[in-house]
Amino acid sequence: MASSSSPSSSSSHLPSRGCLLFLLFLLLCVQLGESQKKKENLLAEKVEQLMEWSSRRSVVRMNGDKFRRFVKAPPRNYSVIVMFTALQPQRQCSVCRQANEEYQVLANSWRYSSAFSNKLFFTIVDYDEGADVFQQLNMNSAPTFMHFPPKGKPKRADTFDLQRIGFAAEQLAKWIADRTDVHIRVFRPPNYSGTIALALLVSLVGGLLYLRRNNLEFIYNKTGWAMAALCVVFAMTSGQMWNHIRGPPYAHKNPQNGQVSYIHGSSQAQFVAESHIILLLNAAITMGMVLLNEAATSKGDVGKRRIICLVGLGLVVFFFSFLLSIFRSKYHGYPYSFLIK
Amino acid sequence: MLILRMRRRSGPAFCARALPRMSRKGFSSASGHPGGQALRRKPGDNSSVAMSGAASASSASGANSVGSVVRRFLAEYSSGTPSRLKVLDAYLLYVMLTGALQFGYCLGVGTFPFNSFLSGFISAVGSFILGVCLRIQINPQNKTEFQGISPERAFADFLFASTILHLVVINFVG
Amino acid sequence: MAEHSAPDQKHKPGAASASSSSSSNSAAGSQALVNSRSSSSATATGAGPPTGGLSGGLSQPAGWQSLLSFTILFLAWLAGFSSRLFAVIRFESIIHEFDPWFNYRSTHHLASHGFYEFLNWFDERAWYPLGRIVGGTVYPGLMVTAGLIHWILNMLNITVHIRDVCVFLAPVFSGLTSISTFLLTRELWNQGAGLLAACFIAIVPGYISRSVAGSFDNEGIAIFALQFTYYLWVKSVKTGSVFWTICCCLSYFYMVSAWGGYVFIINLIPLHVFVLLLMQRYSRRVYIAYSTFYIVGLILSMQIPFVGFQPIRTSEHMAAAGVFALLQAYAFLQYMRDRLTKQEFQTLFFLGISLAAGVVFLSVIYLTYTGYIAPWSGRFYSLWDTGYAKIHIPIIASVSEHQPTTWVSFFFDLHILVCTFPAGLWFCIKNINDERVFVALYAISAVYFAGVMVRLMLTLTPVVCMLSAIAFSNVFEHYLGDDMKRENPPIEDSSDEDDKRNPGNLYDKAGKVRKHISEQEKTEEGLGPNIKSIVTMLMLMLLMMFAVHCTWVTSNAYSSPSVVLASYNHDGTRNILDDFREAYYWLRQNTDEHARVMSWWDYGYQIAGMANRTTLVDNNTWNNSHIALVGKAMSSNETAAYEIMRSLDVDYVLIIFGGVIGYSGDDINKFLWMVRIAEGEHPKDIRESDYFTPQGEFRVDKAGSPTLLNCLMYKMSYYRFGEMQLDFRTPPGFDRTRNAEIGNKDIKFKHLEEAFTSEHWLVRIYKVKKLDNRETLEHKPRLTNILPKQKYLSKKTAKRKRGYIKNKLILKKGKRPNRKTV
Repeated sequence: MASSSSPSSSSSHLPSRGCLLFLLFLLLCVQLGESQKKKENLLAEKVEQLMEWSSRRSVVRMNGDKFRRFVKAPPRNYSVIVMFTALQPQRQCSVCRQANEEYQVLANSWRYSSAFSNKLFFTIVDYDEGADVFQQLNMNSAPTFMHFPPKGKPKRADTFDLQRIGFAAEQLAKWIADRTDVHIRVFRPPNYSGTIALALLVSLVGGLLYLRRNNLEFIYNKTGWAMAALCVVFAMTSGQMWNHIRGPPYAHKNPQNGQVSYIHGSSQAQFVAESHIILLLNAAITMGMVLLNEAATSKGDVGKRRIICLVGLGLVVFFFSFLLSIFRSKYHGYPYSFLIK
Repeated sequence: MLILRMRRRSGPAFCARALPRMSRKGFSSASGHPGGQALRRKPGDNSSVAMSGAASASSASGANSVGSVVRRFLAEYSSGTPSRLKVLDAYLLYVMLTGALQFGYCLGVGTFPFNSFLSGFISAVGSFILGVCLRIQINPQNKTEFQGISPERAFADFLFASTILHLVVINFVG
Repeated sequence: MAEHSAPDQKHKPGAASASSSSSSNSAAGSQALVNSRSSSSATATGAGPPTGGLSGGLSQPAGWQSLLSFTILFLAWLAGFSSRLFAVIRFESIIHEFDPWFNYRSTHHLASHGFYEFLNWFDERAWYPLGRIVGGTVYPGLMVTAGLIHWILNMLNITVHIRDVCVFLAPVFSGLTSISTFLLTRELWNQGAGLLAACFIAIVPGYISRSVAGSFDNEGIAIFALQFTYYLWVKSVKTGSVFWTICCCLSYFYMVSAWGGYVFIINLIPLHVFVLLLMQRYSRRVYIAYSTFYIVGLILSMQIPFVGFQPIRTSEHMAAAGVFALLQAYAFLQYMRDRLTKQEFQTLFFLGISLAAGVVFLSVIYLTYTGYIAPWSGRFYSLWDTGYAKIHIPIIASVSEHQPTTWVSFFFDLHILVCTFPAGLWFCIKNINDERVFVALYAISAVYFAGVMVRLMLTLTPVVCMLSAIAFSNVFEHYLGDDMKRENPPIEDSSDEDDKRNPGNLYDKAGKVRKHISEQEKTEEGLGPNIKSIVTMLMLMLLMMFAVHCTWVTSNAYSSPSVVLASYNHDGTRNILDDFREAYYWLRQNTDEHARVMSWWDYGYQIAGMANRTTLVDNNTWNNSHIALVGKAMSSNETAAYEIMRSLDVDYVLIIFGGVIGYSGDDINKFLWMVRIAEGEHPKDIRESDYFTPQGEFRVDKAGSPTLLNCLMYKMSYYRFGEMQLDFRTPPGFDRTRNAEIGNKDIKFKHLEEAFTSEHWLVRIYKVKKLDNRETLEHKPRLTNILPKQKYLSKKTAKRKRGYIKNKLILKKGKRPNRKTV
């Protein structure tokens, strides 16, 4: 019924309704466009802000709000690498400090490289500044490296496997290249400390020689040279190079019963204390042999020479037995011993 | 005493100090060079002049110049060396010129068969060195240093060494 | 050639024979002991005249002395030879390990085809599609020596097989090393020290480790060449004769042909000359010796194809050239100085020396900068800068032999010698002369390099033997004699008159020795025979402990051929596992002669040597991409791996599997290295993280990563292993090496089939099947030829008859109607 009576009125409303619809449609488009532009503006603003921070420091420090705004919230057309760490001294995270150094090297390499663009940013979130971020991402170990891609959520491979690969800058660069196809060439600033030390040493020696140029007798002192040679030999044969390269601890304290052991239990490793003990033993045995020779060739009181001879012999025999017993304790299954078991 | 004085004077440069401190060359110079010894034994004035010479590193110290030194050296050489050694020296000069010629050729034309160039050049240098060794060993002034080696033995060694050298050179020339 | 022999040196042979007797047959040893006792008592009465050496016939003491020396050297050779034979006696005469198999194969080629064929050999049975130029990439000295000995013996109609020559070459050369060490130490100190040194180096474990019977490797002859070259160099510096220098050059040539360690010689000798120059010990003999050695040695060393032009192109050889130039300049200046006055000399001097030094320096810099002179190669640079290899060349850093040395290794290899050789060094430096400068430099540089790299302990061993022999000889010299005559201190410089020109306070021997003797006659009091005998006895006990230690170490640590494994049961009986050879011989007898075998590079040489088949990669590891391809094949799944194997024409695949006996050196344990190397070349296809569990563990059981459980290596290792139950306590498929039950028990192959598995499942060989004649479809094909088999069946069932009402409600009085759903 109602439908039969309305045609006349609806026909007059139709154009206005159409206009209304059209107007509505236009408004929607405009709004959409505006929001789009706003989004673009927002994005450009974010990128600009990030670029500015990057230009000041290669690694951008972030707290919770900045993180949520720049890293999590859309729109984003850039990747962000975040290092979650705890650098405050009271946290006592030495790994975090080392990883931070490598990260800085990497970020600096990226910043000063020719491929630098606004598609990749390096940031850092410290636990004390952004604890909420840690909670939000359920993160409870530091340091952690994560990659936030421009679109989508980070996957399992977007977390860097620190345990297995380590935190060397080259490995990080490889991982970043894998995830983002951005290749960073790691550039480490050259380390001149070695050259400077050498130059210092040479100038010291030259200065010493120059100052004593009138009386250079000390160069001809054979005993001095012999002592220097023996020092080198003792240092090497007691394993100092191994210590220098592998960096073992000084000694080991057993946490259960508090006993300090100076000798490492296995024959594949050694402690610094152990190498010093061996150095002293070797020196003692050598001195014993030299004393034996001295006793026989020197002139003087026979009694004194006899004592020197016995002292030398005692040194050789006793300290060699001691050395042998230390060797036995390390090399299980060795059946021989001399005087001491 | 002389030694002590020498040492103190030759302070500044380490190398320079090393050489002049051994003023007496030992038996060899004592026996063969009475002239040279006498020249050197002049006390006083030489040493003072030499002190200034050591201090300044220029060649125009005192009244000598490089040219006069060389001329005096040549004069002494022609008078003081036996003829055997002069023949040997001529041979050495010839070998040195050959070597220089080879090197010049290599610089000019290129090193294409590098092993050939090397073998030729080393043959020249090797012959030169062996000649010098022979000269040292048969020089009568050095007799006390090489007691077990008579001049004939030295020459036989020279022949043996040259044979080995040239065998290898021929193998390497390619 | 004066001998520095102290009068009572005959007593040292007694001690030396005592130490050598404890390690070799006791009968001969005790006889030598008796011999020495009698001779020492005989010679003590004839108070030792300063003898001239081994001249003289059977006249008293010189004749006895030479006979004794000869006997002792012969016993040392015998001791060295026999203590290297443990592996041969326990197993059989076989070549050990991996590298010696390649050397054996090359020597076999040399013996069968002749010398020129060997020099020009292009091996197409290694590195399959690429081949390997053997003539230009090996040091031929070892092969030529073995080939020559084989040829000579066969000419004399003593028909030994080339394999026996190769197996026993190293022990024979150890005897020669003893003799050359004796000669060298005799030049340095005296004859007694020489004999002691010969005995030490015959049995010391540091040298035995690389020269047991069966270890047919370069070091076996290189140490002999090294010692002999050093002996001839010391001789030529002492005499200044060109003859000895040329002999030294020829020995150096032999060393260059034998081992890459010749770089040590060509740097140590210039260093020696340079230090002599610094110490103002320049003499004409040094000039003659070094100049001749450098030039003739240079051209001789370039004759080896592998060395080529390196001696004038690389930085490692530049020190020798620099010292040569310096020596020429120095000698020329010395010559001028003799002819001119001091003043004239000064004028020329500064001009000349500065000009020369400037020219040399600038040219070296220029040549290095333009790349004409190559910088230090990574291998040698890492010895200097020890942190370099870890960062830049991880391959070098990962080899276990390139690790630094702990003190335990020093003590294990050298026992008491490492404690007493500093005393010998002390004595050498206190009584310095030209040749002792050399040995001091040798000791210091060798001890540094041995501290940096375990493998270089071998170069330290000879100098340690020499210096501790000097120390012991000194002690015995003083304590073994009788009290009636005190010995003179060792004479320092008898043939050296140049020291007269040095200031007198350096060497006080000329005047002082005579004073000493006269004083000695006045105050003659010895230490007393009791103390002397106590000292002697304890020293002898120490030396006997050394001998016993050496034998124990050789027997337990260095005498296993890795090709044959032995395990010992609870009651001590021995179980021999000969799986490797069983598998290689199966390959040899059951496959086509041109078949190609793919395996990991560790086993390449052994496959080529024992099975005589073409391999893809072997221990030479010169082509990393090829190895990466093999690694990729092993770590991909079967289909992808099959493609790679087809492209490489592989016929058989060989793997090592240790899960049945618990052998920990098998391919699954090496698998991560395969993955890493493959990832280095193909990072998009292979990722190491795929092979780990999400927690980051490497597991082979059910919890392992699926990529690992489906890769070719896994399938090949564990094929049919799931049905095998080793022990009633463990489930079937329990891997003894990883201590886990494997995850994927039901393994089927599409492109491979199992060809051979050895007795203890150690070696497994699979045959790669050819492509099928027809490709099998993966899905069931659509059937298009189905004829209607059945008659047309009417669809009118009871429920559909006409007039039938579907789902009519049936009502019965008193019953509830069934509401069927429509």
